Amino acid sequence: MNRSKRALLIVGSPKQERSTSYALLSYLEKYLNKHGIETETSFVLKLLHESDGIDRIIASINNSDFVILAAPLYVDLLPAPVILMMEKIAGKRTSTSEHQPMFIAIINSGFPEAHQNRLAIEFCKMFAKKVGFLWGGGLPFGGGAAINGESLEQAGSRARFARPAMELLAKSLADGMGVPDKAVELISKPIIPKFLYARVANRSWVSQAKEYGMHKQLDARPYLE
Amino acid sequence: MLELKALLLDGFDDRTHETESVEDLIMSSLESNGWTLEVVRLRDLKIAYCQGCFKCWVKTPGVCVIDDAGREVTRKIVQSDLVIYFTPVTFGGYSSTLKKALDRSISLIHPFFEKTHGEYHHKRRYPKTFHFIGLGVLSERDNEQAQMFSHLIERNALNLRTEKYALSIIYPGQELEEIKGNFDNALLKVGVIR
Repeated sequence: MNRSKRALLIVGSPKQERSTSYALLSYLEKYLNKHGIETETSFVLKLLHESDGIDRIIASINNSDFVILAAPLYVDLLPAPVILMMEKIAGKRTSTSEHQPMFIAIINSGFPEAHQNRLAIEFCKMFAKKVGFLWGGGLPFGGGAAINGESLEQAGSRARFARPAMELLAKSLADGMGVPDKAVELISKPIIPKFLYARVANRSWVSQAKEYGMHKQLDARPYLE
Repeated sequence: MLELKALLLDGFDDRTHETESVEDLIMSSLESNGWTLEVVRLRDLKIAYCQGCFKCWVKTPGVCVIDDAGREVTRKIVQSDLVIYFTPVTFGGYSSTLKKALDRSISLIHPFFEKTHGEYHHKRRYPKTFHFIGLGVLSERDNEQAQMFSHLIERNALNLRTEKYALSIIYPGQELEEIKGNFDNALLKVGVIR
């Protein structure tokens, strides 16, 4: 009897359970499970703090058919802890390692344009190549910061493209294929017009600063000489 | 006379004869053009990971809430005229050691979005911006990684709102003289050498 397929879901956000990355993977997980794919979730920050964290993630990788990383865009690439995890994995695997799971990257950012996540996806593709993962594709989610740590269900219209994209991804993986073009197309759609996104975001910074009484100090230049 | 300051952020995990030789030649090129250079070896500093809290934008604007060397590195970046990111090219990008410091430096930009070059980016916090050079070391001849690194420098320059930036790649087996020649071309591009 063939065993069920398994997916390792890696949350690459330092915000862990309160992140958009986790929200995406949690939603995806439900649909993977519905398609009979078993799942395991790992958090990058937690595994880096464990003395045997990398060995355990390698063991999980060896036990998985799919490795799915969700991470936010930091300075045009992935957060440093995710890069460190990748460096450590690259210390233990090569391009010709025996077990080669499919690797998928879901990158979300605060910029409204999905294409700003493209380079981070290319970075993930290069990582996959170096460590002997089959590249399954990437999903660039612009404006993902609007999810703000809520579940995709709670996020309502802010996740109206992300939800079906994750559903399509789950189905495609269950069929043994990688990221479908339709999922990329959906998740790349702006949630609202970009100029409006920028306006809403800027107002949000002001209201967040008001909570600290700092809304008139946003332009501070503490390191000006 | 106005002092022109360069800052080199060393993102290597180990100090080697090669990295020292490169840092020496960079020092020599800059000093001969009247610049001062400070080298910061990031591996020797205690820099926590960015928590993604955005408090450097809304609670303590311009300053990270984590009180460690990450703050000092950001201050040095802001107060430099030229910043050199010296890193092993890692999957086409920066090492985690360099990236940790860069993640923590987003307090140097302002939270507000504005449109530039047809895209939305954060606006500048400071009136003066620094020029920067991405100096990447490839461990193997890999044009794809070199191209990705070049693209990364370009995207970073757009986000930093910096006008002058350049790329210099060090290939395996390259002689120091060739490395110096390529780096001097980068200095020419950013206006250090006129």
